[in-house]
Amino acid sequence: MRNGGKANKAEAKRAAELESRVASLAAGFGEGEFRPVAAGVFDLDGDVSLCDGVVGLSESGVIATLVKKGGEVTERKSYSVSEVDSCELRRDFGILTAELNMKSGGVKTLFHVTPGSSAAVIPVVKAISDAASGTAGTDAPGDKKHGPGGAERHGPAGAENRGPAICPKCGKPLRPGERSCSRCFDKKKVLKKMLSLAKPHWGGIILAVIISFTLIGINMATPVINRVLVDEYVHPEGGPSAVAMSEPMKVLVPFVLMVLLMLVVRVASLGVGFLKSYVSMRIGLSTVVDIRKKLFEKIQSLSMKKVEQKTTGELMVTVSSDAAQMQMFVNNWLPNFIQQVLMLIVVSAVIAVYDWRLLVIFLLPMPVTIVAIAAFHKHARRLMGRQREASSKTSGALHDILSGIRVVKAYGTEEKEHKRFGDAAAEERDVSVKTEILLAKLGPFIRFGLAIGGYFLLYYTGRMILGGTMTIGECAMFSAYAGMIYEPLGWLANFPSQMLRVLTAANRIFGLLDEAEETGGEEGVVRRIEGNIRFENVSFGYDETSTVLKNIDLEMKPGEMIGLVGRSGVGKSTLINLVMRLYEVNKGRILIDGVDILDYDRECLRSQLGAVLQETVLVSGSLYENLIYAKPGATVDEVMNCSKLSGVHDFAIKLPDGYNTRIGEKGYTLSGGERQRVAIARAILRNPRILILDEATSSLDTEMEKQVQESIAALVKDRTTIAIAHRLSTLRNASKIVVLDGGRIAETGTHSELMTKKGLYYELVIAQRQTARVKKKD
Amino acid sequence: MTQKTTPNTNNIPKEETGVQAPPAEQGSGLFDREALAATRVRYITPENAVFRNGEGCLFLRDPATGDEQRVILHLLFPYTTCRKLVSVLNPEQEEVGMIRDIDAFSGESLEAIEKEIARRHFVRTITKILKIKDKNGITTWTVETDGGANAEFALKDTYGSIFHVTETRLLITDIDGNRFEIANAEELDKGSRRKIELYL
Repeated sequence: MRNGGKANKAEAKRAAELESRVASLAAGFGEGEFRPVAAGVFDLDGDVSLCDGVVGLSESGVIATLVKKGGEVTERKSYSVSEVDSCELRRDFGILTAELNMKSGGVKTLFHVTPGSSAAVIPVVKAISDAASGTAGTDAPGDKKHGPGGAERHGPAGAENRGPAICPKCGKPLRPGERSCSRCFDKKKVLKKMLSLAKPHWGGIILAVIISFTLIGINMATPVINRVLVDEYVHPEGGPSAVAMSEPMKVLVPFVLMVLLMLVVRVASLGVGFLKSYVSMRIGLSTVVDIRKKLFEKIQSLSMKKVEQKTTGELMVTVSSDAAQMQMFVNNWLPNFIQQVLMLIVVSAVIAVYDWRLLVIFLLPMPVTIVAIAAFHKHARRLMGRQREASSKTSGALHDILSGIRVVKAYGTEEKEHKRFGDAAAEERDVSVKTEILLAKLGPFIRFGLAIGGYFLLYYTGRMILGGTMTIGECAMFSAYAGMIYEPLGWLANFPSQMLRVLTAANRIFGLLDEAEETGGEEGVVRRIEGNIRFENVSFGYDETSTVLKNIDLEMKPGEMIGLVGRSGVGKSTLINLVMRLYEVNKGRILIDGVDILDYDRECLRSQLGAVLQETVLVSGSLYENLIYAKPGATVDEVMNCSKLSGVHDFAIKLPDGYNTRIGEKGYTLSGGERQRVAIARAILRNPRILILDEATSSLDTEMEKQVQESIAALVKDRTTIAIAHRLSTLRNASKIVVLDGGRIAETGTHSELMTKKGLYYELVIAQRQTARVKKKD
Repeated sequence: MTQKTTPNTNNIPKEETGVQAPPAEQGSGLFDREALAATRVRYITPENAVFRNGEGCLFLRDPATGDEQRVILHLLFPYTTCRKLVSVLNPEQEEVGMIRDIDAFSGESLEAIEKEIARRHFVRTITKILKIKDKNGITTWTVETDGGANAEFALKDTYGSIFHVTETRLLITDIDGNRFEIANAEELDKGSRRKIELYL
């Protein structure tokens, strides 16, 4: 509650600050002239020193900034949105600069901001840009979403579009890839979701509860038998009876029967205990399989952008460890919780029926123990979060090192990586030790607190025996029952910290399961693609602060081969990523055969796309399985033909196991060229309507490249092809060459047209020829 | 002492091969006549080739020209089928052509091909597992094979060395590259099944 209160206060303070700065900004205009539809605060002035700045966009299309230092206004700027082409947030080292690209051609600096404060201005930049381009849609001026208070609202829902998201409750930034704050997630909500996850297994859980109840009943019988044995046979009231003295067999037989009964009860207890473990284990394992399946499906359905927000280590920990915690919950914690609570109630009731004072004495120290648990609980939760993070970091480091083991060995950085992993593991160890120490401290303390009740009980029952109101057998029975109460109490005392572990894991699981999936599901357009691709004023950046592609207008006709040319990092691969719909455009749209790419059924669209990318990913399996990965229903004849076309057959016939050769981990290692040939074969096999070649022959030697180029020439016929190649000679026959520079199209035309034009393409070709000549001379 | 046996390739059921019968020559989609020509797959058929054995080698003769050359047969799908899609290589390991289905041949040619395949594809069939000893991650297997005599072999990565051709048909490659086959793991005796199920 206190946290929530603090967060609300901080939020209110921020809102009040923004309101006051916006009021100062509006004061520079006539009364009611500047009515802001988007506003945010920034913290660096033109000299890059700290200031109190505010930027706003008015209803009438005025963009204005105001800078105050020491309470004095030091700078005012205003522009009309009609003069502006777009607004961008450029990221430099430790600083972000908002720039206005003016229609006149110039660039104006609007404001500077530190990355930590950028979340407040990103919506304003977006609103200005949308207003300038006239494609405002829902984010246009006038939309209440970006009102003065709006810039300060950074709920998780909009997190992915607004840079670093901030938890609305505690005001702290969310960790990368987080949807909900791991510090203050809603535990009740998570618990409800957990129970709903266990829903398909309720039958089994109820069975486990019934078995638990039976187990309690059996365990309750033991002290009763014990009492009878003590009071009737071991220490009968008034000493041994006359019958026992004269006919010992008459006493011995029922005594032996009672001992046998005790044995039967013990065996029954073991049997039912085993049954309970078996049922719980079955439910737990089924649940964990369900969760892992759901998580895997979800990860598959997420957009690349979403997947890239999380590290592989994080995802792996969620699918493996967090899911295992859920198994523990269903397998162990849930049935045990029910059993322990039931035991507590039943045993308490039995004691209370006999003498309510016994129960009161026994439970006397309970409130103190509960207060102590609550105090530890808060600290434990923080440590659990850190432990989880450290574990994720260790897994991430391990994954990075293993996946890049070639680079590590090639550069001889084993020592460095050893240290990196060692440090991560040591951090995890330190945090784990701290957590375990805390839990170890908590456990004995609670047990001691509970044991105090036992001493009171001993004193009270001792007095009763001496007073003749209780037998020794009854005392033994109540001591046994007291032990049966200690067990659930001790267990329940540890329950919150253990449950916290489970809830933290569950929060991660549901955080991932609740992620929005890629758009364009099953209801999208399903049709055969002809291959007309049109980019309409497309802009795209991998995050809000950088734009990789700017205002791209491009048309590719069916059957054309388009060569994408440009220096490294100009956005060539980004452009093809957009065609493959791995990312969604920030502005503009991409049409395929006149239909927006986002409106297509995802499956339908991707089934008609084929790609040979720079890096070929092989699946663990045979060479044949890797080839048919692109088309599982392919006939052997099709595979053979593709294999011949791509050059795969040339190396397959030299492998002892032919196409059955296992490749990938623990199998035959394919060279870079062989991998690329597999990728080409897959693309040919898929028979796509749109073919994407991203440096498709870069790993091949000249001879093989020549052969594969012939195959590609046959392949590209009658399908739209987008090809990227650094060896420009390979694009000589392209229908159209598009030269990118700085994220924009610099020039387009055929090879001969561009050579005549003597522009950027000409420069690149000449530079490459000169390099080739130098190499030849060497 | 183990005994060398000839693989019984005829016993491999067609539905287990994972390889479908080749369709008609014209292909579909991408594989129109023009594209198919570009693949330059040369199929060797009884009409354009005659095989014969001689001096422990296989020879291929072109009946039209009478030219003869020494060739080697290479199974493209040795795990799944030994009678379909066999590459015919010259001694320089270059492909001369491909046999779609050796059963298309008959007489001396078929005999010569089968003999060459037997030389190139040696797999013993395990009929009983007598003992599997696991020590330091290396398992030593003592088995009875269709050859009659017991065989002993070692596997370094046991799980990785057992390839499931089908649900029940297993192919085992030992530490030295020797191949063993279990035609149907479910048809092994109870003791053998118990020994192997840990590794499946």
